[in-house]
Amino acid sequence: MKKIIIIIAAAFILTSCTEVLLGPEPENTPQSNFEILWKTFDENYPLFGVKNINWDSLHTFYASKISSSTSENELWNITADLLLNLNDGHVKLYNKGYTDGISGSRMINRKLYDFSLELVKSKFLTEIKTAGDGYFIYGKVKQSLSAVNLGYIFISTFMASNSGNGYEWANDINNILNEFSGCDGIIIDVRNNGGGMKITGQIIASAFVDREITYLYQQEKNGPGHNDFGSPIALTVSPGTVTFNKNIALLTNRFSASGSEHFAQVLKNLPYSKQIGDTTFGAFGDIINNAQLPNGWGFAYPCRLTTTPDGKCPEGIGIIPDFLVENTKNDITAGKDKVMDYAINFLNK
Amino acid sequence: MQQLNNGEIMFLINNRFQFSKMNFLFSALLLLLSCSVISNAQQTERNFIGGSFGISGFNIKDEHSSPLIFGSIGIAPALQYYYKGETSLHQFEAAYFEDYLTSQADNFNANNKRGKVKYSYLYQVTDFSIFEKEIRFFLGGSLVTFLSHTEYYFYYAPKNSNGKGSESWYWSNSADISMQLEYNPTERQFFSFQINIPVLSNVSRPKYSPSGDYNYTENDWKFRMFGKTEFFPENFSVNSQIVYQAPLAGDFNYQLNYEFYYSFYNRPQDVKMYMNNLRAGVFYCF
Repeated sequence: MKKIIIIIAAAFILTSCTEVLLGPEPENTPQSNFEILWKTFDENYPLFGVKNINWDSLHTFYASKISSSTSENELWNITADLLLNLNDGHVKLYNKGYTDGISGSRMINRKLYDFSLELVKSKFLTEIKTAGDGYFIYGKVKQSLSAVNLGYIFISTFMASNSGNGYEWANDINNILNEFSGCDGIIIDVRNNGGGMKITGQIIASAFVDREITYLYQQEKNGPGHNDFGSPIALTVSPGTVTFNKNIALLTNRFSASGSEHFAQVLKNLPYSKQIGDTTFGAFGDIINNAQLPNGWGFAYPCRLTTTPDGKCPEGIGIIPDFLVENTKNDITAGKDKVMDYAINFLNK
Repeated sequence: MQQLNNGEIMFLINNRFQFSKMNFLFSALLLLLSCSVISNAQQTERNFIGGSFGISGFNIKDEHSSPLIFGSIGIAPALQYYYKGETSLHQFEAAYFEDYLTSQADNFNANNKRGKVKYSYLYQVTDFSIFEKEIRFFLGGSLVTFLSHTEYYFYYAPKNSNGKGSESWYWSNSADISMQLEYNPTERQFFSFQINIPVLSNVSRPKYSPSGDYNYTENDWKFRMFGKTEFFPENFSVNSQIVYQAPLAGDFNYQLNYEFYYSFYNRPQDVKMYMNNLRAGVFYCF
């Protein structure tokens, strides 16, 4: 019995040694939360160089605004201002419980006024159907609007669905293309598509390419220095089982982001595809980090540097359309979609 | 002929030095094993095989995934086998641990699973007396694989569910130096204290960026068993166990076991963890 007491006592003593063995628990103070967030970005964010951001200067400026008496709301606003300097749609800050969040992009605050799916459906389409767990909405362009047979596919997202492995829905593109086999051209609409999984975009893109295409390169961070990157990883797409290689009009706007931009970059390589609308969002790096702060806030950031095959980084820039066509709020209100009009005319030439 | 610069020469020298150290360690281990076979050929043998169950207090700070300390108390089942010769010991142990870990921020939690498989060979090098009790001192080596795998979650209030934020692991496969002090009041009763420290190990950790381990097809992280080869003290850990066995009934013994484990590794970011395990079990003796 004496031995057992000694064993339990020893265990109890060792259990209380957490700080000695693991180091101090980070404090839940305004300064500590700010410093952890700043340091995490400093050591992991991959785009300081290409965006020419002096992160140390920003620390000096914003840290001076924080003291032990800084309220949670004040800390939230200061942190949001700091992150806005990154102008990156893949940078996010979430409150405890993730009921509120802000983006590190200035663009996200613009209103979604230049696109209306309901307008497209009512004015331009017939035989409207859905597929891919509802993520595809497709139909034929009304014959009264086009001399040639045109199909229209709206891809609302590249996110995982709740069925199967999450990305099987993307394979429905093959069924859609079988229905569109008699079409002379297709309009693919990724306006307001905020992106999602890389794999879904690649599956869908594989239905439109005529050869293997290396469309982007990515380098992951491999150290805390701002220029610590691994070797470039080529992102490629090969033709799928069903392919459509006739004329394509890809419609984009400023809210075609992330996965939509990868998709647009694939189609940029096809001579029979043209991008019409506005420049895409400009956020390409994979966002899979969900970092943590002692106060329960979470934050996310991209962790790869993306470059085009000719070595340019499109972060913060986006994919520039072949034909720049913009809708105004008044256009949409008046029942006009100039981007759709342009695409139909283009495919009729 | 290809010219070597100073850096390349130093690299070759270091590599050669590392190979020499590795050869020495394996040779020493083989020598100990062969000694045991010779010395045990005609000695009294006793085997103890059994299982034990208990609790494990575990704490981890893995800066690859979070600056926070996560900890909890979970279950700690184990299977063990001891072969005791007159002057040598063979020990095999397989242990599993599973914990739901919490942190100071109540919306961040983690699932941790740990497993350990260890084989040890120890040879009695001396004995001495303390308070008229004969204490035997054993020295030997162990082959150990230890995995700690943690999935980090955040509470997502809009769906009243947990979302997976990241995943991290520490998988060490090591050749350890082992030391044991043992007191045997009777043939079926013993009290031992053992300590293991890795000398040569291979450690798998996630890449610096979580994206490097992300499987975009499976939409999940992929973890590996093997990674970087390290020599003491780069992959530092200490595993100590206090075991007490005594007859229960017939050919069965009961065992009480306290184990302490601590490890520290600094790639790609610091990971530190420790656990205290308390177990009780029943062993069959033959």
